[in-house]
Amino acid sequence: MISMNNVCFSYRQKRRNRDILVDLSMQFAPGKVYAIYGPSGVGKTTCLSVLGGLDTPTKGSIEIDGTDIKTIGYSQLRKQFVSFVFQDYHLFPYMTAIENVVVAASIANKSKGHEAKEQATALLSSLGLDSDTIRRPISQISGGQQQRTAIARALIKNPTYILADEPTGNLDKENAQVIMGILVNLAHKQNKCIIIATHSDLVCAHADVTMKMEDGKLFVGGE
Amino acid sequence: MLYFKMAFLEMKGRIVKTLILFAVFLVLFTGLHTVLTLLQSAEEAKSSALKRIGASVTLDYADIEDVGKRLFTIDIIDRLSSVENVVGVNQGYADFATPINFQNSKAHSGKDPHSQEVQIENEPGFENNVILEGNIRAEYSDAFRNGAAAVVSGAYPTVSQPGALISRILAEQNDLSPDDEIVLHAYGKELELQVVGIYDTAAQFQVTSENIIGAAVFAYSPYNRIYVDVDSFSQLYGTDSATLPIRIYISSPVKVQETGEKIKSMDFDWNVFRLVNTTATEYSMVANSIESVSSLTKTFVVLFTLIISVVIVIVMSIWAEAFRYESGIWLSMGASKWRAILMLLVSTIIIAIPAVVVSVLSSSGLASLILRYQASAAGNRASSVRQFVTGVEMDTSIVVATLNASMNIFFYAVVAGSILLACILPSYAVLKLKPREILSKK
Repeated sequence: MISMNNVCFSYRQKRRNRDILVDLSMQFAPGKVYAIYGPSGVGKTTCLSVLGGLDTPTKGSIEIDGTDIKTIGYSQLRKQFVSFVFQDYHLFPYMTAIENVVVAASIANKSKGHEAKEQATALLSSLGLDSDTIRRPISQISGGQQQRTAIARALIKNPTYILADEPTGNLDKENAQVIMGILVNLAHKQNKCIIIATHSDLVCAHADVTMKMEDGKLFVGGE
Repeated sequence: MLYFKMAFLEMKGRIVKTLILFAVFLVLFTGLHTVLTLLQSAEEAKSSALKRIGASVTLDYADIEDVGKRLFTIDIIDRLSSVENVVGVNQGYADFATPINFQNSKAHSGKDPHSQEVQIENEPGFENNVILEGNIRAEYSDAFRNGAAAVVSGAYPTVSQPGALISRILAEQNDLSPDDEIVLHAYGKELELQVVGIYDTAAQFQVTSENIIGAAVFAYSPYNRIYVDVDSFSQLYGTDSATLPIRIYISSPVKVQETGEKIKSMDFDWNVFRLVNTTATEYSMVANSIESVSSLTKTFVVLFTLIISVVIVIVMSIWAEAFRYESGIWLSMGASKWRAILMLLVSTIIIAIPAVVVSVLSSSGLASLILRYQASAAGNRASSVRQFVTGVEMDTSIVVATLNASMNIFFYAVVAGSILLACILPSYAVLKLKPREILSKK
């Protein structure tokens, strides 16, 4: 379980404090897909960044199974517990799909060499990428295939929490359906906690829990 | 392992960047190593030239009108001998003489001295001459002091044991041995001298189209130089020790200035005497090419170091944004900022290493080419001056040297500095920004 306890986040803009997250408390459990929706600039991405240790809250704490993530360490948190999936995929453009995944395994010290390659191939294959595609440079595969590669990269270190920022934002409806199918499967069959920041009704439709973000707070919309 | 793997993937994936950075490193490191090699070579040539010239100052007449006056006393010589760092004092002078009961040596290598190319006029009176050198202490004369010649039989001529010290070649040619008598003629006078010693010289008399010195060419042969005591010399030429400038030999070229100052502080009448830094004067006569290379290379070392810094900053700033973005990806996967920077450092080092190897291997060849060009531009006379006083060639050509420890340390420090500089600029933003900010600034 990952929980936000009275989390505030603000930054200085034009000599004024701008509050993005205001006294936010929320818990996210494994086995579910959470969709955080709301208009642009409301703080969805900030919420994910703070949860994943890419940014630090101004106030409050975030705990994983009762342990403050500051104690775990932000790098360690991202290495061991949390993976990200981004709208822009954020893959290394000069590497192939399989290399992108293998490198993530090496960073997390999960597996190395031949073993990492086998795991990455299996993972990419389970996400519907054939052996020819995974050996092509990232720039030569489609957006949908890139997002699947990004999901495989997120999964290779076997994290409990996957934080996805507009994962279908750059995809057509068909590919968005496929990606959401994959994420829902991960939550329901592999007991992952999937937290998605989105504008998309399609994503919300697939989510187990939807939350509206407004004025720096999260309002649970339905389960 | 990850660092190397990542570095190779990045280098392979960004082949244009890799090649450009390699080319920049290669040009800059080769330039710097070549310039340092030239500087080292010039320094070694200078040190070698100074060693051959020796370290000395000369106490001479301040006023040309005093030349010939009997000013140099035994007291002055004794006082100069006791100055710190002074290793010896000598008074010497040389002039032509004609052998009467023997013949000078015509042994030589190189060109025919009478050929059209060399164009020495055949004037028999001069052609058969020798040079007579009178010294208070012949062992301090240039050829013996710098090791070009050594006594192999008998002893040096002195006032208490007057006579002539002749070369082995001259002795063998004329069947002369110690205690034999030779007769010389100059300025209408004749002088009989007993051979007191025989010396051998390493110098070879080579006739070239550059060392034409007229009909007296053979007199300048190192085989035809006869060393005599100063009293015997005075009998022919009328010069004695009280009229000859005093050459003061100092323990090391680096102590010439300091010792010269000490001598200048002595209570001699400096209206009558003047002190000449002979080392500096002789060095300036023979070492123009060394100094031009030396000063030019010093300028280039500074210039290259600056150019390296500026070019690397410009080149790396082109990739700073790409690196910052990639670092964001690393950070999102759990790598620390330092780990991301270390990966950049490793890939930069991997690119720099072959550039360093090629630059080290190619710089001596390049330095050699530049020196050859410089020598031909300066003319052969500038790089190789025949020192006729000793008959030993005073070769001031610069031979390519390998870098000494301090030059190597400087070179590798600049290499390390360049690599760090190449990493600092892209790393700055990564260190300064939060991971989320890095990723959002794509």
